[in-house]
Amino acid sequence: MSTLAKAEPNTTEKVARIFLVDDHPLFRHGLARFIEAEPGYAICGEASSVPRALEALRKTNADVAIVDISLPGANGLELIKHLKVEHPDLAILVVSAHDEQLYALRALRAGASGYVMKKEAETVFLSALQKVVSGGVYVSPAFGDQLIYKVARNEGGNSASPLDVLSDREMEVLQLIGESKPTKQIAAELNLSVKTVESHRLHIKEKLGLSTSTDLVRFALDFVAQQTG
Amino acid sequence: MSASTEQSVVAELPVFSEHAMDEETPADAAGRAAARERLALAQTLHDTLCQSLSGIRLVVALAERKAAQRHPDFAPELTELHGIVRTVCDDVHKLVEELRTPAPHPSHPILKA
Repeated sequence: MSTLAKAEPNTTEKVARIFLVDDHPLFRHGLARFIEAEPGYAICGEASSVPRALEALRKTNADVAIVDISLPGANGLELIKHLKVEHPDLAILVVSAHDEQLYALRALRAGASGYVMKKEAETVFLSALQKVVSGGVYVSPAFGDQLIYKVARNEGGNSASPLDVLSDREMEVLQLIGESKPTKQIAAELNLSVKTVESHRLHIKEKLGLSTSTDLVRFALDFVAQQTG
Repeated sequence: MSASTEQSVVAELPVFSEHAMDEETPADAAGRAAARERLALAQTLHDTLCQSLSGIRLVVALAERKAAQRHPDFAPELTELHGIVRTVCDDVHKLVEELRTPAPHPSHPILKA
Protein backbone atom coordinates (compact mmCIF):
# COMPACT_ATOMS: atom_id res chain seq x y z
CA MET A 1 0.00 0.00 0.00
CA SER A 2 1.59 3.29 -1.02
CA THR A 3 1.60 6.38 1.10
CA LEU A 4 -1.21 8.82 0.57
CA ALA A 5 0.06 12.38 0.55
CA LYS A 6 -2.50 15.02 1.39
CA ALA A 7 -2.15 18.76 1.38
CA GLU A 8 -2.74 20.41 4.72
CA PRO A 9 -5.75 22.74 4.96
CA ASN A 10 -5.05 26.38 4.33
CA THR A 11 -5.34 27.54 7.90
CA THR A 12 -3.07 28.87 10.60
CA GLU A 13 -4.62 26.46 13.08
CA LYS A 14 -2.31 23.61 14.05
CA VAL A 15 -3.35 20.38 12.32
CA ALA A 16 -2.23 17.03 13.73
CA ARG A 17 -0.83 14.79 11.01
CA ILE A 18 -2.07 11.23 11.40
CA PHE A 19 -0.52 8.13 9.82
CA LEU A 20 -2.59 4.92 9.62
CA VAL A 21 -1.18 1.39 9.81
CA ASP A 22 -3.82 -1.32 9.33
CA ASP A 23 -3.90 -4.21 6.87
CA HIS A 24 -7.66 -4.13 6.35
CA PRO A 25 -8.51 -1.71 3.50
CA LEU A 26 -12.14 -1.07 4.39
CA PHE A 27 -11.40 -0.36 8.02
CA ARG A 28 -8.50 1.90 7.09
CA HIS A 29 -10.73 3.76 4.62
CA GLY A 30 -13.50 4.24 7.19
CA LEU A 31 -11.02 5.39 9.79
CA ALA A 32 -9.39 7.88 7.40
CA ARG A 33 -12.77 9.36 6.40
CA PHE A 34 -13.85 9.62 10.01
CA ILE A 35 -10.66 11.32 11.17
CA GLU A 36 -10.46 13.77 8.30
CA ALA A 37 -13.98 15.01 8.98
CA GLU A 38 -12.78 16.22 12.38
CA PRO A 39 -11.27 19.71 12.49
CA GLY A 40 -7.63 19.72 13.50
CA TYR A 41 -6.67 16.38 11.96
CA ALA A 42 -5.28 15.37 8.58
CA ILE A 43 -4.23 11.99 7.22
CA CYS A 44 -0.62 12.21 6.03
CA GLY A 45 -0.17 8.57 4.94
CA GLU A 46 -1.26 4.94 5.19
CA ALA A 47 0.43 1.56 5.20
CA SER A 48 -0.77 -2.01 5.39
CA SER A 49 2.33 -3.71 6.78
CA VAL A 50 5.21 -3.14 9.18
CA PRO A 51 7.98 -2.74 6.55
CA ARG A 52 5.89 -0.31 4.49
CA ALA A 53 4.96 1.66 7.59
CA LEU A 54 8.59 2.02 8.66
CA GLU A 55 9.65 3.06 5.18
CA ALA A 56 6.82 5.58 4.76
CA LEU A 57 7.23 7.15 8.18
CA ARG A 58 10.87 7.88 7.44
CA LYS A 59 9.67 10.13 4.62
CA THR A 60 6.57 11.57 6.28
CA ASN A 61 6.44 13.99 9.15
CA ALA A 62 3.64 12.51 11.24
CA ASP A 63 2.50 13.60 14.69
CA VAL A 64 0.52 10.46 15.50
CA ALA A 65 0.58 6.90 14.17
CA ILE A 66 -2.56 4.79 14.57
CA VAL A 67 -1.42 1.18 14.60
CA ASP A 68 -3.18 -2.19 14.58
CA ILE A 69 -1.74 -5.10 16.55
CA SER A 70 -2.37 -7.74 13.87
CA LEU A 71 -0.22 -6.94 10.85
CA PRO A 72 1.31 -9.17 8.16
CA GLY A 73 4.74 -10.58 8.98
CA ALA A 74 5.26 -8.96 12.37
CA ASN A 75 2.82 -7.66 14.91
CA GLY A 76 2.10 -4.09 15.87
CA LEU A 77 4.04 -4.36 19.13
CA GLU A 78 7.26 -4.83 17.20
CA LEU A 79 6.35 -1.89 14.97
CA ILE A 80 5.72 0.31 18.01
CA LYS A 81 9.12 -0.53 19.45
CA HIS A 82 10.86 0.25 16.16
CA LEU A 83 8.94 3.50 15.75
CA LYS A 84 9.81 4.75 19.23
CA VAL A 85 13.49 4.22 18.43
CA GLU A 86 13.35 5.96 15.05
CA HIS A 87 10.77 8.64 15.96
CA PRO A 88 10.86 9.28 19.71
CA ASP A 89 8.41 12.19 19.47
CA LEU A 90 5.83 10.25 17.48
CA ALA A 91 2.69 9.53 19.53
CA ILE A 92 1.22 6.09 18.90
CA LEU A 93 -2.40 5.06 19.38
CA VAL A 94 -3.22 1.38 19.03
CA VAL A 95 -6.62 0.57 17.49
CA SER A 96 -7.10 -3.17 17.60
CA ALA A 97 -9.68 -5.93 17.44
CA HIS A 98 -7.82 -7.69 20.25
CA ASP A 99 -9.14 -7.38 23.76
CA GLU A 100 -7.48 -4.63 25.80
CA GLN A 101 -7.07 -7.11 28.66
CA LEU A 102 -4.53 -8.98 26.56
CA TYR A 103 -2.61 -6.33 24.73
CA ALA A 104 -3.18 -2.83 26.15
CA LEU A 105 -0.49 -3.05 28.81
CA ARG A 106 1.96 -4.62 26.37
CA ALA A 107 1.26 -1.85 23.88
CA LEU A 108 1.91 0.81 26.51
CA ARG A 109 5.11 -0.92 27.59
CA ALA A 110 6.23 -1.05 23.95
CA GLY A 111 5.81 2.73 23.77
CA ALA A 112 2.23 3.38 22.70
CA SER A 113 0.31 6.26 24.26
CA GLY A 114 -3.12 4.71 24.01
CA TYR A 115 -5.16 1.62 23.24
CA VAL A 116 -8.71 1.45 21.83
CA MET A 117 -10.60 -1.63 20.75
CA LYS A 118 -12.19 -1.52 17.31
CA LYS A 119 -15.57 -2.44 18.74
CA GLU A 120 -15.71 0.75 20.82
CA ALA A 121 -18.04 3.58 19.90
CA GLU A 122 -16.75 6.26 17.57
CA THR A 123 -16.93 8.89 20.31
CA VAL A 124 -14.55 6.79 22.40
CA PHE A 125 -12.13 6.66 19.54
CA LEU A 126 -12.18 10.45 19.14
CA SER A 127 -11.57 10.92 22.85
CA ALA A 128 -8.58 8.60 22.66
CA LEU A 129 -7.14 10.38 19.63
CA GLN A 130 -7.60 13.77 21.25
CA LYS A 131 -5.86 12.60 24.42
CA VAL A 132 -2.91 11.12 22.54
CA VAL A 133 -2.53 14.13 20.24
CA SER A 134 -2.35 16.41 23.26
CA GLY A 135 0.42 14.30 24.78
CA GLY A 136 -1.64 12.25 27.20
CA VAL A 137 -2.20 8.52 27.63
CA TYR A 138 -5.49 6.83 26.85
CA VAL A 139 -6.93 3.51 28.01
CA SER A 140 -10.59 2.78 28.66
CA PRO A 141 -11.82 3.90 32.10
CA ALA A 142 -12.52 0.26 33.04
CA PHE A 143 -9.02 -0.84 32.10
CA GLY A 144 -7.51 2.18 33.82
CA ASP A 145 -9.27 1.24 37.05
CA GLN A 146 -8.01 -2.34 36.76
CA LEU A 147 -4.48 -1.08 36.18
CA ILE A 148 -4.57 1.09 39.27
CA TYR A 149 -5.93 -1.78 41.33
CA LYS A 150 -3.33 -4.12 39.91
CA VAL A 151 -0.48 -1.74 40.73
CA ALA A 152 -1.82 -1.14 44.23
CA ARG A 153 -2.27 -4.84 44.87
CA ASN A 154 1.07 -5.82 43.42
CA GLU A 155 3.31 -3.48 45.35
CA GLY A 156 5.51 -6.49 46.07
CA GLY A 157 6.14 -6.83 42.33
CA ASN A 158 4.32 -10.12 41.74
CA SER A 159 2.32 -10.41 38.55
CA ALA A 160 -1.45 -10.90 38.86
CA SER A 161 -1.94 -12.47 35.43
CA PRO A 162 -0.20 -15.66 34.25
CA LEU A 163 0.15 -14.15 30.78
CA ASP A 164 2.21 -11.23 32.08
CA VAL A 165 5.23 -13.52 32.33
CA LEU A 166 5.21 -14.20 28.61
CA SER A 167 7.25 -12.10 26.23
CA ASP A 168 5.49 -10.31 23.36
CA ARG A 169 6.74 -12.94 20.93
CA GLU A 170 5.54 -15.75 23.17
CA MET A 171 2.11 -14.09 23.27
CA GLU A 172 2.07 -14.09 19.48
CA VAL A 173 2.92 -17.79 19.39
CA LEU A 174 0.28 -18.58 22.03
CA GLN A 175 -2.33 -16.70 19.99
CA LEU A 176 -1.52 -18.70 16.86
CA ILE A 177 -1.55 -22.01 18.74
CA GLY A 178 -4.98 -21.03 20.03
CA GLU A 179 -6.06 -20.45 16.44
CA SER A 180 -5.23 -24.11 15.81
CA LYS A 181 -2.29 -23.39 13.54
CA PRO A 182 0.46 -26.01 13.26
CA THR A 183 4.06 -25.14 14.10
CA LYS A 184 5.12 -24.91 10.48
CA GLN A 185 2.43 -22.35 9.70
CA ILE A 186 3.23 -20.35 12.82
CA ALA A 187 6.88 -20.26 11.74
CA ALA A 188 5.93 -19.03 8.27
CA GLU A 189 3.60 -16.31 9.59
CA LEU A 190 6.14 -14.98 12.07
CA ASN A 191 9.16 -15.34 9.78
CA LEU A 192 10.81 -17.70 12.24
CA SER A 193 12.35 -21.14 11.95
CA VAL A 194 10.35 -24.16 13.10
CA LYS A 195 12.99 -24.75 15.73
CA THR A 196 12.53 -21.25 17.14
CA VAL A 197 8.78 -21.70 17.34
CA GLU A 198 9.25 -25.02 19.12
CA SER A 199 11.59 -23.26 21.53
CA HIS A 200 8.94 -20.62 22.21
CA ARG A 201 6.35 -23.36 22.80
CA LEU A 202 8.66 -24.93 25.34
CA HIS A 203 9.24 -21.62 27.13
CA ILE A 204 5.51 -20.91 27.20
CA LYS A 205 4.81 -24.29 28.76
CA GLU A 206 7.51 -23.73 31.38
CA LYS A 207 6.41 -20.21 32.24
CA LEU A 208 2.75 -21.14 32.49
CA GLY A 209 3.43 -24.35 34.39
CA LEU A 210 1.89 -26.56 31.69
CA SER A 211 3.06 -30.18 31.65
CA THR A 212 2.19 -31.39 28.16
CA SER A 213 1.53 -30.16 24.66
CA THR A 214 -2.10 -31.05 25.19
CA ASP A 215 -2.25 -28.74 28.20
CA LEU A 216 -0.64 -26.00 26.13
CA VAL A 217 -3.17 -26.39 23.31
CA ARG A 218 -6.07 -26.44 25.75
CA PHE A 219 -4.79 -23.26 27.43
CA ALA A 220 -4.23 -21.56 24.07
CA LEU A 221 -7.68 -22.50 22.78
CA ASP A 222 -9.26 -21.15 25.95
CA PHE A 223 -7.16 -17.99 25.65
CA VAL A 224 -8.40 -17.34 22.11
CA ALA A 225 -12.00 -18.35 22.89
CA GLN A 226 -12.17 -15.79 25.69
CA GLN A 227 -11.05 -12.94 23.50
CA THR A 228 -13.73 -10.53 22.48
CA GLY A 229 -13.73 -8.11 19.57
CA MET B 1 -15.00 -23.11 29.16
CA SER B 2 -16.52 -26.03 31.10
CA ALA B 3 -14.49 -29.12 32.01
CA SER B 4 -16.51 -31.31 29.66
CA THR B 5 -16.01 -28.85 26.83
CA GLU B 6 -12.29 -28.75 27.50
CA GLN B 7 -12.20 -32.54 27.29
CA SER B 8 -14.06 -32.34 24.00
CA VAL B 9 -11.56 -29.83 22.70
CA VAL B 10 -8.60 -31.97 23.67
CA ALA B 11 -10.20 -35.09 22.20
CA GLU B 12 -10.91 -33.25 18.95
CA LEU B 13 -7.30 -32.19 18.51
CA PRO B 14 -5.25 -35.33 19.03
CA VAL B 15 -2.60 -34.08 16.62
CA PHE B 16 -1.20 -32.21 19.60
CA SER B 17 -1.70 -35.14 21.95
CA GLU B 18 1.33 -37.16 22.80
CA HIS B 19 -0.61 -40.40 22.28
CA ALA B 20 -2.59 -39.38 19.22
CA MET B 21 -1.59 -42.16 16.88
CA ASP B 22 -2.45 -44.85 19.40
CA GLU B 23 -5.93 -43.56 20.31
CA GLU B 24 -7.38 -41.98 17.16
CA THR B 25 -10.64 -43.29 15.78
CA PRO B 26 -12.53 -42.12 12.69
CA ALA B 27 -14.90 -40.23 14.99
CA ASP B 28 -11.95 -38.52 16.68
CA ALA B 29 -10.48 -37.56 13.32
CA ALA B 30 -13.83 -36.21 12.11
CA GLY B 31 -14.30 -34.26 15.32
CA ARG B 32 -10.82 -32.85 15.03
CA ALA B 33 -11.41 -31.76 11.45
CA ALA B 34 -14.70 -30.12 12.41
CA ALA B 35 -13.05 -28.26 15.29
CA ARG B 36 -10.34 -26.96 12.98
CA GLU B 37 -12.93 -25.79 10.49
CA ARG B 38 -14.87 -23.94 13.19
CA LEU B 39 -11.75 -22.17 14.42
CA ALA B 40 -10.63 -21.33 10.89
CA LEU B 41 -14.08 -19.93 10.12
CA ALA B 42 -14.07 -17.90 13.34
CA GLN B 43 -10.69 -16.46 12.51
CA THR B 44 -11.69 -15.62 8.94
CA LEU B 45 -14.84 -13.88 10.15
CA HIS B 46 -12.81 -11.99 12.75
CA ASP B 47 -10.14 -10.93 10.27
CA THR B 48 -12.48 -9.97 7.41
CA LEU B 49 -16.13 -9.38 8.18
CA CYS B 50 -15.62 -7.85 11.65
CA GLN B 51 -13.05 -5.44 10.30
CA SER B 52 -15.19 -4.46 7.33
CA LEU B 53 -18.18 -3.83 9.57
CA SER B 54 -16.04 -1.66 11.84
CA GLY B 55 -15.04 0.41 8.81
CA ILE B 56 -18.65 0.71 7.65
CA ARG B 57 -19.71 1.74 11.14
CA LEU B 58 -17.21 4.60 11.11
CA VAL B 59 -18.47 5.93 7.77
CA VAL B 60 -22.10 5.63 8.84
CA ALA B 61 -21.32 7.45 12.10
CA LEU B 62 -19.72 10.21 10.05
CA ALA B 63 -22.77 10.44 7.74
CA GLU B 64 -25.06 10.57 10.77
CA ARG B 65 -23.09 13.42 12.27
CA LYS B 66 -23.01 15.39 9.03
CA ALA B 67 -26.73 14.89 8.52
CA ALA B 68 -27.48 16.12 12.03
CA GLN B 69 -25.50 19.28 11.31
CA ARG B 70 -26.48 20.04 7.70
CA HIS B 71 -29.39 17.85 6.60
CA PRO B 72 -31.62 17.17 9.60
CA ASP B 73 -34.28 15.58 7.35
CA PHE B 74 -31.97 12.61 6.78
CA ALA B 75 -30.77 12.38 10.36
CA PRO B 76 -33.37 9.92 11.77
CA GLU B 77 -32.80 7.33 9.05
CA LEU B 78 -29.03 7.58 9.40
CA THR B 79 -29.32 7.24 13.15
CA GLU B 80 -31.40 4.14 12.57
CA LEU B 81 -28.84 2.81 10.08
CA HIS B 82 -26.05 3.43 12.57
CA GLY B 83 -27.96 1.41 15.16
CA ILE B 84 -28.52 -1.43 12.70
CA VAL B 85 -24.83 -1.56 11.76
CA ARG B 86 -23.84 -1.62 15.45
CA THR B 87 -26.27 -4.50 16.03
CA VAL B 88 -24.85 -6.43 13.08
CA CYS B 89 -21.32 -5.86 14.42
CA ASP B 90 -22.34 -7.23 17.81
CA ASP B 91 -24.07 -10.23 16.22
CA VAL B 92 -20.99 -11.13 14.20
CA HIS B 93 -18.77 -10.81 17.28
CA LYS B 94 -21.09 -13.20 19.12
CA LEU B 95 -20.98 -15.62 16.21
CA VAL B 96 -17.18 -15.57 16.29
CA GLU B 97 -17.23 -16.33 20.02
CA GLU B 98 -19.65 -19.22 19.49
CA LEU B 99 -17.52 -20.70 16.73
CA ARG B 100 -14.48 -20.51 18.96
CA THR B 101 -16.30 -22.51 21.61
CA PRO B 102 -15.79 -26.11 20.50
CA ALA B 103 -18.73 -28.31 19.56
CA PRO B 104 -19.35 -31.29 21.86
CA HIS B 105 -17.31 -34.41 21.15
CA PRO B 106 -19.28 -37.01 19.11
CA SER B 107 -19.37 -39.25 22.15
CA HIS B 108 -20.77 -36.51 24.40
CA PRO B 109 -24.10 -37.50 25.94
CA ILE B 110 -25.73 -34.31 24.72
CA LEU B 111 -25.49 -35.60 21.15
CA LYS B 112 -26.98 -39.00 21.91
CA ALA B 113 -30.66 -39.46 21.05
